[in-house]
Amino acid sequence: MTPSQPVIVVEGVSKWFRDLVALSDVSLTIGPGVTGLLGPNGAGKSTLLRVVCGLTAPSKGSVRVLGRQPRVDRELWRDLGLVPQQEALPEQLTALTFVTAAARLQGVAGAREAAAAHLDLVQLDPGDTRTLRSYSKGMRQRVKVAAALVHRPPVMVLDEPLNGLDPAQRIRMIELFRSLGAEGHCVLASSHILDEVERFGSRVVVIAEGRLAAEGPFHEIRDLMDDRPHRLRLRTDRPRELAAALVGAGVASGVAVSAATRDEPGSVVVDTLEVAAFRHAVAALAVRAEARLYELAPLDDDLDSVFRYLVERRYR
Amino acid sequence: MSAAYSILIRTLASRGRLYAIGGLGVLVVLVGVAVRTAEDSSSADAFDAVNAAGLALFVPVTALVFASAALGEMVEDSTLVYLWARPVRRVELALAALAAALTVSLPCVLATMFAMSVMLGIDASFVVGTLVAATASTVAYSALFVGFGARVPRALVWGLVYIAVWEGIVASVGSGLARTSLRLYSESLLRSIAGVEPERFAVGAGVAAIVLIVVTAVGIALTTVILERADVA
Repeated sequence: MTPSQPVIVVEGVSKWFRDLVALSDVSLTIGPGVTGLLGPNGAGKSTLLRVVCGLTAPSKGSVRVLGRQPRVDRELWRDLGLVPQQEALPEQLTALTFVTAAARLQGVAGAREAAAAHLDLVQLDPGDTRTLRSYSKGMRQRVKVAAALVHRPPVMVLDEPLNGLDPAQRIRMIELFRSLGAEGHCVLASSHILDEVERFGSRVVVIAEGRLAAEGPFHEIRDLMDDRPHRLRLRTDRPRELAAALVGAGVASGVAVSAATRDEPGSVVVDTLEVAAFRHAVAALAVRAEARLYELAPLDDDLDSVFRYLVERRYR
Repeated sequence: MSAAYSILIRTLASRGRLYAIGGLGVLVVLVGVAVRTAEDSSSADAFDAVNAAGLALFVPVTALVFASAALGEMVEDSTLVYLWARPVRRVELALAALAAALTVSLPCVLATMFAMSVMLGIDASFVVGTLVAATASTVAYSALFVGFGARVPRALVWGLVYIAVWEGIVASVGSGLARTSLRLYSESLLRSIAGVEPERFAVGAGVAAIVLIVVTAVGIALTTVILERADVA
């Protein structure tokens, strides 16, 4: 794999389950290195990863991994490793037995030694005689990663691989993914947490409501998120005066004022295109308007709003 | 195949299933004891006992319990992906699941049917016939139920309905429909080997063996197709 060569090619993929559209006309290419797949819960990330791996057929469109069709070419699994989203593992096995079986199914020579080495890599004890039934969520997650990596595949698809890990384990796991990416492996890892994806690597694919919302280097996506229109609420004793000052200073593109009552201070809901400039100016403008500020709160800072904005922007 | 088998066999051999089948096996042997100790029991009664309690009930139920769970349980708890997402031919997975199911079910079936047939005290050919018929039908039922379990939710319940209605009632009413039940062929094998008078719809040992082998092959092929087309969680 050369750095510019696409490893995963998704073309016009849609997937629906009866009336539910899980993916809608998604096209993207992914090359070597770590790519973060970002999106809120229910956005279609897992469905996209299942389609990429051939676990389910797309209703429309096509997928190629290393130039092969994952749904029909089972030999592709020699070059593909998957960490599925579900927590379930065969409960009656020990971690070593499970990862050894995975290595044998992959045809790894010295399967037991390879399994032990990969359990060690994810900081689990290969000699642990307890069955997987007694493992915590974080330990199960690491077992799944060991089983996916045991044959050192050039392509790895990881569905929410950091779920259940404590902060220290998250850092170690992210370092592992980054080192694999630096070695030239193609690592596609999903998450619904922005900060996690930021640490995965430089490239991000954002998916929301089953559609591709954005793709590109993380800093560009981050800029897009920061540059979008923001809505904030100010609580103040002089809402009209403060609203006029904000509009006059050019830091608000729209305002909605609620007058103060005997029990409640008034409020101003502000739309702004430059949230940083707004935050910088608001205190001085409040002083000038002789308004007392009680609260400044974002109204649309949750990730869902961000993702919705990105989708609307892309398909506008 | 051995790695898949090692995962499947450990998943299958649960205490609950073994206790349930062990309990049913004890009841079947007790039926044999009851028939043997009855004052006016004949070899025809012994044949009926093996046929009704063994070949029509215990054998298919045991096959169903283990075979439907071989892949079905992994489908239900979403762990099938750990076998499926590997460069392994689907027919190998189907064979591994069948082998795992038989590893647990055959010893249960053979021990129970041996004890029952010996308890009935007819002769050696009756014991041999019982064991051959039980083995062949366990393999054939298991081959069908492995794929059934992988495809049908709550396969155990639907499988019990099939055993009760089709293999139990339809096969025993004596019409041509009996030929569509597996029980007729295992029963025919037993009749041929034990030298029991054939009834109207019975077939020869050769035909019975061929049908059971074909059913086994069809079961494996269906399981392979089900795995190839599976939507894996």
